[in-house]
Amino acid sequence: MINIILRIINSGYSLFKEEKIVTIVNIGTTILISFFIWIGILSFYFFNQMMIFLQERLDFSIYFKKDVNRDEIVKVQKILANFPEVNEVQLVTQEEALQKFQKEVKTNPIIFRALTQLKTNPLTDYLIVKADNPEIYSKIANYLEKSPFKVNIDYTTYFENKEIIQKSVTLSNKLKVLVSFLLLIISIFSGLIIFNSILLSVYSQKENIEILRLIGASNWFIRMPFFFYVFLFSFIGYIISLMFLILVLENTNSFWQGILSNFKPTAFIYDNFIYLNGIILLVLIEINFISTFLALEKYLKI
Amino acid sequence: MIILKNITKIYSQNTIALDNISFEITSGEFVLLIGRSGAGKTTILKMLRREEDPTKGNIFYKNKSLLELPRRRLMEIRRKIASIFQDFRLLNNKTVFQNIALPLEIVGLSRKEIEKQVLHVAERLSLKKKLNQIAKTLSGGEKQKVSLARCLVGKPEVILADEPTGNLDPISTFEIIEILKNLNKEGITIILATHNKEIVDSLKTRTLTLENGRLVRDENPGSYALL
Repeated sequence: MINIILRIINSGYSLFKEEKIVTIVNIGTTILISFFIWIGILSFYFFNQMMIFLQERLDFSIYFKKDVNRDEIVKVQKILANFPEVNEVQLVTQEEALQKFQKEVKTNPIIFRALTQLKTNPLTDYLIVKADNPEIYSKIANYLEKSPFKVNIDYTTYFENKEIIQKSVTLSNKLKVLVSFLLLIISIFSGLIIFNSILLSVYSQKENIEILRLIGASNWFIRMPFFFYVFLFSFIGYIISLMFLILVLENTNSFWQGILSNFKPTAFIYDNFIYLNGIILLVLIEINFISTFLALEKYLKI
Repeated sequence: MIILKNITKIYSQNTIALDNISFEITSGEFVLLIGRSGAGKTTILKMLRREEDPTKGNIFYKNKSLLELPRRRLMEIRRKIASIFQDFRLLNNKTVFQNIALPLEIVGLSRKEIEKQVLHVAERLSLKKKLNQIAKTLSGGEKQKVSLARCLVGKPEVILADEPTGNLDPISTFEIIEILKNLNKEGITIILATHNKEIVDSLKTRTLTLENGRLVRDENPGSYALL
């Protein structure tokens, strides 16, 4: 067994060494395809972060009538906090609401003066509901509409924000579908490019393959060194592309932060380093293996 | 040992390469296949190693049909029916040692056993000093010897030699024919395709003459003059 493994490694490495130009082309193709895959993944991440950024700025507020007891509001807060996908239900008291409003209108002297002249606090307690998925807001609105708390509620901002919430949900879903479609197209094209590139390596070895067949070599005896060769150039190509990608992203961090403050591609790569790289490398090697298998078939018919 | 029964090979556009050919070769024979270019010599050798299949007829090796062999058994047969070619078919970027060792690597022998057997064959064919040389740097005669060594290391029962001296000078030709004669004396069946008159006349052995894909003469000993 050890002899067979050594022979596979040795012959695969010989292919790598002897077919220099073909190997350079194959490494180049792998680098290019790894970049395509990374661009797809980072686009997915970018759109995701963009949606989080937008959704963080959308909330669903519930304003209660002036005579409603705070205990009643806390009860609603607890019920809503138990809704699935709801991250947080924050109670903003009448006093906090006033402070917040005063801060917001500080630069507007007319409103600020009118507010200070009032002897009483015109604002009421309210709840702010935050969720990852804005679709939950419509469910909460429906729930409140049918609940016994309806009589305590003055108004909600859901209907004011409804359009923008729905648009953001639709946009998010459409972007995800688009990126998934792009990733699929990239995968198909990558497969074709890799297949052609491997076809080139196999073609450059066709005489040797024929000789091996004529002296009684089995299909696997011929295939295995090619598989090792493919593994070798895929791995090297991928490592080069990853190093280059990180180098570029590290030096353009501030640029990306300027576009979208929560888009941190290097942090995303480092946080998911083993998982992401493992998956991409596995997919890349698998595409290469299938391509090698298919490219060799023609020459193994002798 | 080898039986060809009513073999016909028709290529596309109705080109008849072989036309109803039948003959039998017994173990240990030295048989010459002669005929002009395109007569069908190479096609017969290709069929004997199942590089090509006949359109009609059957080929038997040790009473088993070669055409019905599963792929795995076919590879074993190719180790028993070894071949040498006019263009040598060596792995040109590999050393002489690596080329000779190939059939042994295929069967998965240990490094030590491979070295032992390669050295033995190399010594026999005076290739010991060339073992580390890259195949493409050898002369034609040396390349053909390496090709023969690669056959021998697999302990073949039959050697199919397709114009093995076609690219060689007279001295190398003589040397290769002498080696083939000696191997035949040791019991290996040799089927040699050639159109070299001197070889045919000097060997004085069974000769099958092909003409336009048909077997026109089967004589022992044969003569080129009859062509």
